[in-house]
Amino acid sequence: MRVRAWKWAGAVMLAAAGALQAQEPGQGVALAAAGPRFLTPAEPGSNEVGSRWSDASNAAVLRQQISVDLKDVRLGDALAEIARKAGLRLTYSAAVVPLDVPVTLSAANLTVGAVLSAVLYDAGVDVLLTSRGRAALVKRGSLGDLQLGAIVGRVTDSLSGQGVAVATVTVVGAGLAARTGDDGAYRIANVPPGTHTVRATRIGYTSATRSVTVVVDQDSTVDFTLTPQATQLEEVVAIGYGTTERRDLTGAVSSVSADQISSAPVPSLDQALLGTAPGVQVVTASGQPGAVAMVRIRGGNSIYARNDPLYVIDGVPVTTNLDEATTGSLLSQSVRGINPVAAVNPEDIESIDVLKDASASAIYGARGGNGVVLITTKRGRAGHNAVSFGSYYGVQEVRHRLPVLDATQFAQMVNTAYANVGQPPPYSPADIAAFGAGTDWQDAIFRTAAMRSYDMSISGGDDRTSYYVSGSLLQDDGVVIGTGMNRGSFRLNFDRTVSHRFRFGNRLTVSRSKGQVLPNAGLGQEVPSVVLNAVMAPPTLPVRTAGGEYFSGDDILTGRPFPNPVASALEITNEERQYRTIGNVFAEYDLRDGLTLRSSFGLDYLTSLQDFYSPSTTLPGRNFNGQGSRGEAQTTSWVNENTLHFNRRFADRYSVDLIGGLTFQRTNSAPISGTANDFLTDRLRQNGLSTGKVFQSIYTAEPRSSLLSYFARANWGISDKYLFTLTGRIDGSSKFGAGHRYGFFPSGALAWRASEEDFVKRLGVFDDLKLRVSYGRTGNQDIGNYNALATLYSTVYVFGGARAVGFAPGNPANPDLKWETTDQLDIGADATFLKNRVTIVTDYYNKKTHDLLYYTPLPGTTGFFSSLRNIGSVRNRGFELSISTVNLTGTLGWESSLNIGWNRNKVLNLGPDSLIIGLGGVGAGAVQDPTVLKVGEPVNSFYGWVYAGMQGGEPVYRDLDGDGAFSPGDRTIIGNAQPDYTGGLTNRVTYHNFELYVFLQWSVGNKIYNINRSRLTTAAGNANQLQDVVTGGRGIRAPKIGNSFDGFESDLFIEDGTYLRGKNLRVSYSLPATWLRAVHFQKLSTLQLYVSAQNFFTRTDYSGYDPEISEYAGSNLAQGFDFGTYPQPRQITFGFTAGF
Amino acid sequence: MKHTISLAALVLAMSCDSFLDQPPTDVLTPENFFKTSSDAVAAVSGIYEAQKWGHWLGYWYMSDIATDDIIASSNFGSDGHRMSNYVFDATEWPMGGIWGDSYRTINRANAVLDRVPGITMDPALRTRLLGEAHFLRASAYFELVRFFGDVPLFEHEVDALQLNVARTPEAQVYALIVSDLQAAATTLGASYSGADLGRATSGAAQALLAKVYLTRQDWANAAQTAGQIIASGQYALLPNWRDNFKVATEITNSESIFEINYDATADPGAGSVHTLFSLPAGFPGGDAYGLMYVPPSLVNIFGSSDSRGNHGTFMVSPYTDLMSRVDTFAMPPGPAFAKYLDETSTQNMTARAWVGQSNNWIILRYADVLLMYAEAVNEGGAASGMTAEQALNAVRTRAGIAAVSGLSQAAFRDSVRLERRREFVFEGQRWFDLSRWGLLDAAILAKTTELQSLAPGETTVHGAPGNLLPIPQSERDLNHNLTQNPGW
Repeated sequence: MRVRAWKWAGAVMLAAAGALQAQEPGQGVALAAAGPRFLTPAEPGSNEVGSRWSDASNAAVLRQQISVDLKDVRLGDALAEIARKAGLRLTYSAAVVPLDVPVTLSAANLTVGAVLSAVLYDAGVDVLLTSRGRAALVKRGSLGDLQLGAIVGRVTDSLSGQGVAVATVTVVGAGLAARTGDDGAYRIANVPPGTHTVRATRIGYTSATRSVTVVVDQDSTVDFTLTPQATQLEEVVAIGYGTTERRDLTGAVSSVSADQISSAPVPSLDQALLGTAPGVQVVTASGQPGAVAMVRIRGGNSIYARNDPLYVIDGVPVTTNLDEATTGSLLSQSVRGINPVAAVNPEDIESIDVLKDASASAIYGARGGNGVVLITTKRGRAGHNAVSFGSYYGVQEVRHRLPVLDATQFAQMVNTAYANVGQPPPYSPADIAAFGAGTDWQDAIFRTAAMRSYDMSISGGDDRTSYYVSGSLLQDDGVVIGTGMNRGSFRLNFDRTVSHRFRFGNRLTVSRSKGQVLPNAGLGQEVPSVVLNAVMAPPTLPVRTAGGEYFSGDDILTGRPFPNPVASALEITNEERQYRTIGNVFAEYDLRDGLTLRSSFGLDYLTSLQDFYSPSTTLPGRNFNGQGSRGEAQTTSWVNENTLHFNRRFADRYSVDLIGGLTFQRTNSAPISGTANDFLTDRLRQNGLSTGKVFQSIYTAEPRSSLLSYFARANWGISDKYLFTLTGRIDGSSKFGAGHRYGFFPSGALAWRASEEDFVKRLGVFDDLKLRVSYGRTGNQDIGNYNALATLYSTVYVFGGARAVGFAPGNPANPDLKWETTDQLDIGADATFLKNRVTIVTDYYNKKTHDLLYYTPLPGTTGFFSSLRNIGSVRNRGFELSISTVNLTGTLGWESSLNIGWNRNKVLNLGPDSLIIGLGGVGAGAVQDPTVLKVGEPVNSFYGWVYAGMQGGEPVYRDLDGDGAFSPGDRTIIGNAQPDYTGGLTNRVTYHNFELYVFLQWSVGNKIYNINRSRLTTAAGNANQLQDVVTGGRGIRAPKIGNSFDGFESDLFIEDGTYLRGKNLRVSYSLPATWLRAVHFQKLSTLQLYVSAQNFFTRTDYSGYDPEISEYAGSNLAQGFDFGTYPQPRQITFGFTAGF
Repeated sequence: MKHTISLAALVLAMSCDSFLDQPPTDVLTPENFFKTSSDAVAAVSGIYEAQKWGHWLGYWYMSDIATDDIIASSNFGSDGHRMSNYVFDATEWPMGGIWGDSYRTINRANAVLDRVPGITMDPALRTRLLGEAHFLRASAYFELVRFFGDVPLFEHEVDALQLNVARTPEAQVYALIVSDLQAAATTLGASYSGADLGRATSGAAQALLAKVYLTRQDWANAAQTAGQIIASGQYALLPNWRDNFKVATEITNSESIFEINYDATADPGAGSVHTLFSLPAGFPGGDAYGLMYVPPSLVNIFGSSDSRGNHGTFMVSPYTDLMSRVDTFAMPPGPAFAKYLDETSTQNMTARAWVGQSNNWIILRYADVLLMYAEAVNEGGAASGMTAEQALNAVRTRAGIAAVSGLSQAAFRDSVRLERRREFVFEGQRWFDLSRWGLLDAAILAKTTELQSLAPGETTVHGAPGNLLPIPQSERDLNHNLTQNPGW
């Protein structure tokens, strides 16, 4: 549930502070004592018996709205100005009114009464209205015995009957208000006699209005019953270049609130999307702290171009493309460094809105095809100065270990393997007896790791200025030794109103992240891959020699140096530092009421520094007498956006919201890296590359791109019942071929709020019902920088011991190269019923992506390998459902939220090909690459042989092509990594000051290709294996030890990746304010303590470390692989947040 | 205000197209290349690079592993076993690799031959560069035509969209090869020094031409061309056969005629891998994969005095190296392959690593010229300067085996063939020799028979259909005018 952003009619900032401020409960109710009263002589015969004066705050003249912009002017001048604007003849005496007192007030569309209340606050006067439209300021009390009454009552919940605390009750037009106490009771004193309208409001409830007649010296009772509002209809949703209320939304947008984001300690905001929005699939690549996550909105569209959504942080599109932001210096399979989105502190986020359908994302045109994630950070609120401090400490560990052989079992297995190939056994019975259990290499690399976080924010503001300043520190020690990540971030968000027409401000975050990345170079006998080597390391070998050094002698079974995983983890430097600045400055000017010009200049600056050093004692540095590299990539992306926004309501029925804009964006990157080998000493590590005897390589480049866009959007509403949206964007990109410089991306949407129709109202079922349909086109321009151009690449040959650099044709020209195009239909419904207790949002979508970029292979006779062309097509269609319910309200409150997304993906066309095998580029030493693209099958399908059992201790496969032999023709589709459906279920239970939050998340039907298992069951007798190899495990009945069955791609290694996971469980307790006062913590306004557990349970049949896995998260074609992947930890966290 | 804004927007919009112009600053485009002599030199270096990759791995899967000289061991991946056991088909990757790398060589050479004549530059340098392009183009076509028979022929740069081309009869391909090599032989330098060391020489062009003639069974031209090289005195056999594989004296030694240069120090990441692949697994000093072993039938052709036998082409366990390290290895059921181990090279002995070796791939050496001469003369070519017997005996006596004399033509033929096998194991000669002698099918049959007795589990299904390899299936999928060779 998300808190509605608080909007006054017009921007109101009252200088004479307090005039409209609510009273704190329990601190007296003398709110309006210092404000002026509006009185008029009582008419004879009126029912306001016993008084010469009656309340005039509802008088027409006081209800008219005016705008004023007063800055440090004399009260006398201010009054003159107000009188002129209000058409009010105002008389007063300098003896009564302190005319020289300076006042400041800027307000748009505020009532005359409110304006006068503000400027005359504390002036000690009352306003006396005469019947002829004159007003006189008279000294308070000069009218004789002014008698007053009071309004008292209680605000209760319509469902539970319990009192509603902190509801605001206002006397409309009188500037009087109070807040309810814990029991829902309130009291407003000093209310002039007469008939008043009283309104009670509370976030999360629909407001209620009552009429009351106040009698002198009496308490008039007004009780309110508020209906809880489960619906998100009041929510303000970011839609790109603006916001709208959810009730007016025509597109498919999912939102994640600050509450949800901060409920679990996630280091990176994309992880906060996991399981919270239907149709948004998030697979965290690994347990590496700061790891990238694979985020797919409504399935993956592209084969070659990137599938990640566009991230827009406070209007700044940010780079998530690691291709340009890294130099590839790190030793890892695919996770090239830490996640750039992790630069943003999740605590700073106000909301995340995910634009899913074409109507919503077409405003981002050629970048909207994969969906758009809009991130809005927090801003200060006028008059609400607050300091918040929070901290947590977590403890993490891996869920379980792989059951591999101990030293005795291992030695026996090896002897059997040797015997089976007629070799003498390497281990004597005496050796075996001496081994015992041997080294537990998993124990040696895994640890219980800490995670700490501290964050502090100061926010607030006055009538014209608001600010939000925050700082945070995060330290996440990985569960594998030698890994970890820490981040420090700073944010300043500033808003300033210069006049009632002109505003400016900025959003800025600066962060530094540092990650020690797990060395994972794939599989090879001398490759440092910590997790893989740990499970495969012979338990007969020690971690350290008797002399205390890491054992790195020869492994007698391979005859080659042993890649000691502990040494790899601790001795190899594999580190990335990211410095990132994301921010913008903006100015808005109201050309006239409802017409605003906005201009902003944004910057995303990312410097990534990647260090690698492998000393001469540890592989791979051992082969080079030390090997080191440093790479740095500076990526600068600036964007200038200019929009003209018009918003008006006509004839009380038609609402029009138009926006048009022009944006420029340019992205430059300047990577550099160098590698050197053969060092005299390891002490200087990567900082002394110049001392290397061999300079292996230097790499520099400067990829650049520009984007120029025009866009417009029109929203038109009729009677809040029929809503239309038309969006169009023209994107020009330097990446496109000469023949396709500009692309046009239109969309249209229609929504019908059926609940506004009488015949639906008569049904009495729906509190709200909206039906939506949208269709439109978006694109993907993330296609590489110079692919349309013919380019040469550089070559190296050596003549006479010297490098001879040459040039040769590298890429053939393709002037027809253009964006990928996605056409999407969305049909959706939003319904709220059962007195706003149940909200259902559901969508069906069908999107087809064509002009897919695909490296079309060229015949070798052309001299080229391939050409990038727009040929493929892929379809994603699916269904999304989210249900939010308020199950219980009152002392025991319970809210639930369920979301499920089904997506079906299918390759429709691959140009000249119908089947492409092994495109995924599964990493070094995997031996297997079961990736495939096949027309008619989903992307990320697996391809291989069908296991048909063991014969003579070796696996045999089904002869599908009937040629009587084991042959490539026997291969078929053997599964795919895409889930049948994914979902999440959140339950929030509150009881007094306790809150319990339980978040379950699942993925059903996805398959995992477990390369680890394939390497752990070869039974070749040269590496440690799963116990299954000896005992006969799943699929491996009676393996012949020593057969080394070459690891053919087969369904033997495909496992069901279905899981149900307790993602987060959190119990929190907010200390009552009375307790805080009792222990003299008066400064502390809130203090919440919590304990939470992440991944607290996991139900899965997957045999590997963890089912939530995607080693090649950055790849479109190789999802669902477990290959030396850093396992996800489970965690328990203790923390608190305090407000001052 | 509004007008100002609109005006500003208009001005911005007008400059928009230039905003989108982002000519690359970190890559070259054809528009700004082939302008200067250094461009011409760089373009020729690019041709050599294609040859470097062309002989890096896939080439010797075909030229050596797919022959009776080598048997894939259990350490070898399935591709090696399929090649070794001759159970591969048109989808096997080495064929596609050689095809692509050869045509990349040809296209780069064609670009040089088309464009370099138009560059204003030193004429002598231009002539030499064009000669190198002729040599490299001929060398690529020669490999293609021997492996695949008729192949598409391009004499000029091709359009990237020129997809469906037909095969040209091999006689036409050979005609271009001969004219290219004749041009190269007259324009290339006899030798180079300094930073030009390793470029194709006139001797290389002549030696390759001799091999072309030999392959075409043009005995007269083969004998004459080889005889000219012998007579030039440019080359001499090294006293010690093993020194041919010494990394320190590659290219510069007297026997070397042309080599593909791999240099892991100057060109890291592109060092050679055949040493690692062939050394017995666990051999001390770094990567050694032990992917192959020497069949007993090959071991048996080396006499005990033959320096190319034990401790030459192969080694048996235990083996004591020059650093006195004793290696015991189990490589059932034949001896381990040892030929490329240079025990005087630190890199070879202590720092072996993937793509980290500098061992060259020898294309032509003087022993080959002598044996070509002996063969051509024995088959009817005219002798000049020395007899066929002298040429053969020069190679034999250098290896430490007895000279032959007075053999019949048939016996001499057998002797030359046996000598070629002993001399050039794993030097990219065997498949071509067997193919041109018409002995490929028989040799593969004998090998599979031997293999079945050595490793009964191995799959050996069929022999070699004819004396050609299959046209890569991936090419035929993309080019519908490519026909397949018979039997594949």
